[in-house]
Amino acid sequence: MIEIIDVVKSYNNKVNAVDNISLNVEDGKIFGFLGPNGAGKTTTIKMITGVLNSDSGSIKINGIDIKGNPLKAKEQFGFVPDNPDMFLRLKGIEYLNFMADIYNVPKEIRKNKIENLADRFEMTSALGDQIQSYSHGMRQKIVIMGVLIHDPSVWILDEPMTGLDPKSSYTLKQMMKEHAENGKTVFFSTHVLEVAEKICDKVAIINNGKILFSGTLDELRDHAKGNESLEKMFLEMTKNE
Amino acid sequence: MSRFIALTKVLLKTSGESLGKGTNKIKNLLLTIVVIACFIPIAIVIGAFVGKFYEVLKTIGQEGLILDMGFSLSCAIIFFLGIFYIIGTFYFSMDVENLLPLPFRASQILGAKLAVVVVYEYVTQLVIFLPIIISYGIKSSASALYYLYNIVIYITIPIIPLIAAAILVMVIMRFSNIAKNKDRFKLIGGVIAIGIGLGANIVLQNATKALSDPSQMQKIIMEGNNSLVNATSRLFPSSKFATIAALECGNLQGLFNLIIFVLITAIAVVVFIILGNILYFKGVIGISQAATKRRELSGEQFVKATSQNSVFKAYVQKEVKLLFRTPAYFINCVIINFLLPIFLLIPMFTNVGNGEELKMFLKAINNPSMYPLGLAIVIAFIVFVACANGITATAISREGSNVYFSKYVPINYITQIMAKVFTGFIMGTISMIMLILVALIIIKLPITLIILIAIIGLFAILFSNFVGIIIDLNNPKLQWDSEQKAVKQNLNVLITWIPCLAFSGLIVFVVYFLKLNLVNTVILLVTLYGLVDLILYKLLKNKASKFYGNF
Repeated sequence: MIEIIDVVKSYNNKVNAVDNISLNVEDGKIFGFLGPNGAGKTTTIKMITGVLNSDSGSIKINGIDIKGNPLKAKEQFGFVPDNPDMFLRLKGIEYLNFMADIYNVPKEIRKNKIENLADRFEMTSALGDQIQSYSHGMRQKIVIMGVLIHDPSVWILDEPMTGLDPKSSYTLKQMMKEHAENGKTVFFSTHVLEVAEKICDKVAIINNGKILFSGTLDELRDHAKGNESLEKMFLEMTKNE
Repeated sequence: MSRFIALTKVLLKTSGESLGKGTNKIKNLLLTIVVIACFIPIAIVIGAFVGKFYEVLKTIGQEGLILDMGFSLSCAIIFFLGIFYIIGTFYFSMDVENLLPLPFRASQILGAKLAVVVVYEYVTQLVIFLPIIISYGIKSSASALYYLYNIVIYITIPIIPLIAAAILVMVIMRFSNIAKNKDRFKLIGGVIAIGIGLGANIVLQNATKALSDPSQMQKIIMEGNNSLVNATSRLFPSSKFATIAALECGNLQGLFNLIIFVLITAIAVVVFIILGNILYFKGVIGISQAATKRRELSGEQFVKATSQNSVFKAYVQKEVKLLFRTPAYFINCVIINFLLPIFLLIPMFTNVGNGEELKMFLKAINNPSMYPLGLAIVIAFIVFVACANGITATAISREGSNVYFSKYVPINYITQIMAKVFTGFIMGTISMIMLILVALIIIKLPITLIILIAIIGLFAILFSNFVGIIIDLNNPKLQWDSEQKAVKQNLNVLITWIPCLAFSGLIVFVVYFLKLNLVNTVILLVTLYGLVDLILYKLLKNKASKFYGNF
């Protein structure tokens, strides 16, 4: 569960990149965070994950305040950043083991987990190579695997589908569904409405740092009819990439 | 030509970003001023030394030797530093990948990159070359023409040694690029180039020793009139023309030599462009391609690769792996630990002359009354070496745009920072061991002294590491497009030297002036370094949470 209450983040104390937003991401749901480029999605995600400090307001993950008890809060989630170019000179397996060490995953569990994830993402034969040799999509996959290795109850993913081939994208979506079905939380951002339409139980739309809408997709469609700015936004996001 | 100029401008701009640009302009400006201010004393010392030397040599009519030595020394230093610069800007800097699709000729890319390196060398020359020229000019009350000629020499002199370094590196890289594992061969290629550069310097030093036949030497000296200039050998013989041009600036011979010097330089540029067209693209295309096996790990490999470690150990392992596997980091942060002790070796073997002199020299230092001061100096040297690898001074900078990783993983900031410090500590310790081995071989110090050096050295290395990481936390260079820029063009390495050398130098002075005995020296060293380590650790804890807290 993620609770975002009255969060503000400004750059240079002038422009509010995130302007007083509140969201409630419930357990057992896939929550899509939608908005065009530069809307404030990544800034919000950075604040949830403790990368950025909010100016005011509070963010709780499974009830634990990210500012008040950062280490405990960080143990709750797994985060896939939007840029997977990390630790390029580590081998895939070394990266996964490093992540397992960081999150104290016991030896017996990590081995199974890695084998399992590698199998599902078809990465088994690439684990012995340096991440540098991976394509963008493979890098994305190894980062996702690194996150899932400690079985976090809350998944936070920033534009996770970017660069994935259809099959991996499908696998990830399946895994997100399974995770939610197990009563856990999935929160991910995207600028493509189509992705959200397929798997989200709920969505929030952000633009210029403000939440324009939060609710189910059906509600969104109804709502958009009478709301000009939301309709415009809707159109923008349904346009081809 | 206009493309060449446009490209040079862009490359200069992107490489100079550590100076002046950034979020905090005033802070950067101040830092730049501090760094420059710290080099002024070195320049003054060199200038004063040249002045004294001039008076001595003038009496035997050999004062021209100063310029000769100045020029050939500059060439040797430029050549050696050039190897590092060339490897970095020509091969490790990934901007090549962005330039290749653009409609540039190889010579334009090469020319622009060489121009960038030449500009770096102009800055280096400010410290070594300029004081020699000015001091000599003042002492000999030289004419305006002398300064004019020297401006020309200043501009042209780094080109030949750099081209020599570039050709050496290009040849090696051309052939190491054949290999499948590019990273590893970039590393090996870099090490070979450095080895050859070092070897050339040693050979040169030995060549000057050929002059040590006393009777012949005497004859040449007796001739006066700067006859020695013609007798010395150099790594770059062309620098002789520069010397004669500057010495004889008053007459036609000077002008003639200057023209020859400039001509040789021009020919070197042409040769460089021709060779570059043949060698460079073949060596650089595909250089960032990583080796892949795409083979499943065997059961045994898998079990080994998934062993469980403590967070701290895992973090240190990650740091060490990245240092060793990233060519730019390996050359600048790892190799240097092995190189510096060798640098210490060369003058020992080459300059001290025959065995008799060496023995006398060793006897002079290997004297119990020298131990206290010697100990303090060796410890100061260890501090210096530990700073030189820049591992902690670039530890945050090296994270670059991935610095936020530290923030979303559930590890204490201080644990992460200490893992970085420990990585620097390991490498510093390795270079200390190298130093001690060298000391054991050459000076044959007693074992108790060696043990003392080793123990106090650990405190000293920690001191360097703490200072380095505090400075990097204060102003990390996180915006870079090639790893080279994170370590090589990072002022934090230089800045670390200032407090480190000031502190360790101060202790040397205290030991010297108070004429402390060995026991008191040991107590002083342990207390001071131990205390400062403790204080810095406290400061670091504060600094780390402040740095990560203020994103």
